[in-house]
Amino acid sequence: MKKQVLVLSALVTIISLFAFTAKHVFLYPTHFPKPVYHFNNNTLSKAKIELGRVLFYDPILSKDGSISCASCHSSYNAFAHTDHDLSHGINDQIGFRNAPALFNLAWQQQFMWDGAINHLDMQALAPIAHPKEMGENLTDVVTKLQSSTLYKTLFKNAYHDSLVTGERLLKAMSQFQLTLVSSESKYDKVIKKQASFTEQEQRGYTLFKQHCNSCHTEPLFSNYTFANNGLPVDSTLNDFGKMNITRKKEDSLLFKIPTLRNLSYTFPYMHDGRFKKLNEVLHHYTQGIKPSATLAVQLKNNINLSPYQKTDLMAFILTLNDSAFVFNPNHKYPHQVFGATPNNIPTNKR
Amino acid sequence: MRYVVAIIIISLTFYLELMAQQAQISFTPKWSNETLILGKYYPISNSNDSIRVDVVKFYITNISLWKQGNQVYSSPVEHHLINLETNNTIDLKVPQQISFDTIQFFIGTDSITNTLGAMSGDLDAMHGMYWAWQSGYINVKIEGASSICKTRKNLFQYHLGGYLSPNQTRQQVTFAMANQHINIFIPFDEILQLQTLQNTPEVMSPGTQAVINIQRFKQALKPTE
Ligand code: HEC
Ligand code: HEC
Repeated sequence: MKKQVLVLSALVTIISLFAFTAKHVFLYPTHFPKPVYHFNNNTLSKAKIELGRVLFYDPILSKDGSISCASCHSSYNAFAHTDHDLSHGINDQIGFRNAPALFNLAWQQQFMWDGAINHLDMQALAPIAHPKEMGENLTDVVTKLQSSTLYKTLFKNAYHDSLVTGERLLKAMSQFQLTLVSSESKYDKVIKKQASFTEQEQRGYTLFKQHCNSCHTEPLFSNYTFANNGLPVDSTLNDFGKMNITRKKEDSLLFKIPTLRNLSYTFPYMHDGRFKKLNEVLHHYTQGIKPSATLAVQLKNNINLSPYQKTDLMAFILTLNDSAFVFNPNHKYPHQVFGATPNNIPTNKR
Repeated sequence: MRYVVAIIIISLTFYLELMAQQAQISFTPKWSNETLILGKYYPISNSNDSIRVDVVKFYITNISLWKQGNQVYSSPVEHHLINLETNNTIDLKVPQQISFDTIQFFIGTDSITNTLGAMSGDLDAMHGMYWAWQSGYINVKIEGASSICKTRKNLFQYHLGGYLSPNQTRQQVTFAMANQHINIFIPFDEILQLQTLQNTPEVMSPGTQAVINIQRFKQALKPTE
């Protein structure tokens, strides 16, 4: 009898140990390239992903406790932002750029429209920082989390002890964001031979490969480099993109090439959100290209598309919408941790 | 049997500890001939203004010891964060038999470290030495106030860093060091010059100003034994 109890409790211990460290395998379809994120330095686990998810949705990360990452990156918009009211006084920088969609981040090396951030782990620092005082506020966040019972538990689950460090926090936030993989669109099903394009979509696909694929390269629909696609400079913003960071003339007006997946969910478009509709984007590529020294060679001449061809191209672009991703419950607000609504977080729990 | 092994291992480590010598690098901030105390006001010579230094933090990395032009030791701990408020000394465990005449180290982190993502220990971004809006470590941080500075609350802030060419800020430093201990003076009256405080009281991002200021910081360092 005693022996059985012993064996049983040993088993329970082993199982719970496994539960804590349960590895999460990073899944992606075979038609995707290898990710560039170094998972060796940040091995995924269920508990760390969950910690990252809670942090992503928790306004505790902002100075005055008013906004979370999800305020600007909503799961219903493929983690982009459709509202333009950015009054919440984070860094000035946020005011003049459009919040990009967040997914397939494991395949990206440089972040932000101008490439200012060189590693996903360090991305979270930017919104966490207080206006003008760069890089200082992670210290305060760590202190806040250290005195929170909720986070003591979550850090213990994730890292075996409840110590909160900047490194742990940043890596957990990366883990959650790395799991945001969009690979279930109609296009993906067609590639996997589980579906087929309509004739119109097929014609659009051909046009896409001819005119767009050199930058918005399949299957991620971006090669994640930087280019000048001929947008006239908005003189109220004077945003010169990558040159702001590298201070090199040849980088003037180069912006990160965004993916074309999930566009139906992520309007408005471009780094400053200047276009509300995809029609306006196509109009730009056919009639609006503004020549300048750094304009991409592919766009030196306006792209010629008849109205019919535009419709075909649009039909193809819509096959890149991935509703399975947008409505994936694993990515949503963690009700089980916070309770009913974001505004309802009991302060004594934190 | 297991105990015997354990005892042997413990005594071996103890023996190796004994065999090692302690080498020490320390940093002492100065204002003219005085040791500078953080938060205290000092008069600026040739002016009616005064100055106060509040924060001094910097990275010392890849320390090595040399003898007649050959490297004889390199520190296994690559990155040390010096924060004059809490910690101004680096201890090195150098094997007993090694003798040396020169010390070499870098002010600032190497460029690869700047691209590796979240790091632990002294490199943890929670120490406030990593920029938010543009990736990269702040290699040297000096903050304070002076009536000379035409800024809010007369504050000056030098956040010096940058790992990309042509504005790399990492600086190599070589000093003679024959003894166990080297104390390095940081003369802030030379680093925080009148003109600098007046014209560029805030350097907060990589660029030529960051390079100029970190070079001045390096050139001002004075070794004493
Ligand atoms: C106030 C709105 C706002 C908040 C809050 C916010 N972001 Fe962002 N996010 C943006 C904007 C705007 C950009 C683009 C900035 C730029 O390019 O300069 C961005 C860019 C990003 C990127 C880069 C995406 C890419 O494709 O390059 C990531 C990743 C990201 N945010 C994650 C986060 C995380 C994690 C948080 C919470 C810690 C967060 N964001 C909070 C607005 C916000
Ligand atoms: C030379 C490279 C290049 C080519 C070719 C190109 N684009 Fe772009 N595209 C970009 C860049 C760079 C941006 C971001 C520009 C900015 O915001 O400043 C962009 C942005 C977009 C956006 C906005 C996405 C968002 O999330 O904001 C859409 C939509 C788009 N392109 C569609 C197309 C289509 C359709 C084609 C083919 C007809 C095409 N692009 C060809 C480089 C290119």
